[in-house]
Amino acid sequence: MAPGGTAVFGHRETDAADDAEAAQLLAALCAGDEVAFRQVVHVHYNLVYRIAWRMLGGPEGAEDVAQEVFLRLWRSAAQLHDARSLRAWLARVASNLAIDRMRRRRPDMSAEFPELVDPAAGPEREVERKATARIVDAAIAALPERQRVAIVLTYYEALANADVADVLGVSIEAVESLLARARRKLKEVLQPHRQEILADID
Amino acid sequence: MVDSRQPGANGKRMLMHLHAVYGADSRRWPLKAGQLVNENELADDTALSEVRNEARQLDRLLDAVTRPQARADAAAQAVTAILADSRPAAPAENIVALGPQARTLRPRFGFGFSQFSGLAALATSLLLGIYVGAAGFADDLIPSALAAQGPVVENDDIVGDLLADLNEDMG
Repeated sequence: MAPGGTAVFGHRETDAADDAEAAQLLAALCAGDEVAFRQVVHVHYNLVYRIAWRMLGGPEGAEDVAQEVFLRLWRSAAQLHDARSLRAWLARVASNLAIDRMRRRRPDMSAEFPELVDPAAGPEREVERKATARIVDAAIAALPERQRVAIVLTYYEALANADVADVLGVSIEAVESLLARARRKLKEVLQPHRQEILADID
Repeated sequence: MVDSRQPGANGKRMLMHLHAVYGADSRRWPLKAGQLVNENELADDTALSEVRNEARQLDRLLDAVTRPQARADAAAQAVTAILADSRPAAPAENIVALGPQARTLRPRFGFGFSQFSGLAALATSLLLGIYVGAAGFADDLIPSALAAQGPVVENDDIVGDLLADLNEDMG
């Protein structure tokens, strides 16, 4: 439990106009309006793709997951009663589908860390930067599933911790616990590469 | 609710918690938690500085991650595929396309040529059999076929034998 009570936490505040517009869009989507569907996909596609990408640890399968997420939205939009929950709904479905795909594809990838420097191609600096990024990508992808969902949605996608709690079906305190554990694990895993990565960033 | 507007143990504890959970960048902290604490009042705290530096370094490592970017036309392609999949496609079902897609576009259900030709062959052979039987074309073949299996036993002989046995038993 966070000191000060976590129930009051929230990352963003939306204004009434945004809420009204989102509600209208959702109502049209529920009525089977293809234009509304196109608009929702265009607004949220990158979010869904990024979540799938990070959960899968790379681009392989991320587009398939994104398409499946929006297919499910098109088929079951009527289940969404609150437009403000759309982002959380998409995040939840994307995370779950990516986890399912990852389980089928590669049950254990914890030991897979790329080499820091790939001498194969490109300017040296860019190659080093990409290699560094791949190490961090692999460290995130190797986290236990729930910790991965928590860090991807909270740290990288800035979802409110209440939304992440909803996605994971746990309390806000449990989300904070997952985040703290994820950060400790990442610190531990990235420790051997720390100096090199920080040198590359600088 | 802890009143952490006042510097002290509670404020310090809350700041350490926020760093451990959300990192050093206060823009990532939950909005109201960030408003409740005043970091500047604890700027000189050694333990908190250490936690803050650790969190800052980890944030830098995490920010070195790849920034995934979807293809520009990926969203439009997804929409097209989903809507095409969900529309009724009855008239298109009977179109047989040539080329690589031909296999997938062929009708999956329906009465095709292969089923029809099988039934036609069966009906033809049945009619032919009836005709051959009725015309007696195969009558000559039957005795020879039976001869190949052994001596022919007439029904009358069997009845006669049974009657003789019966008579013997009674007499």
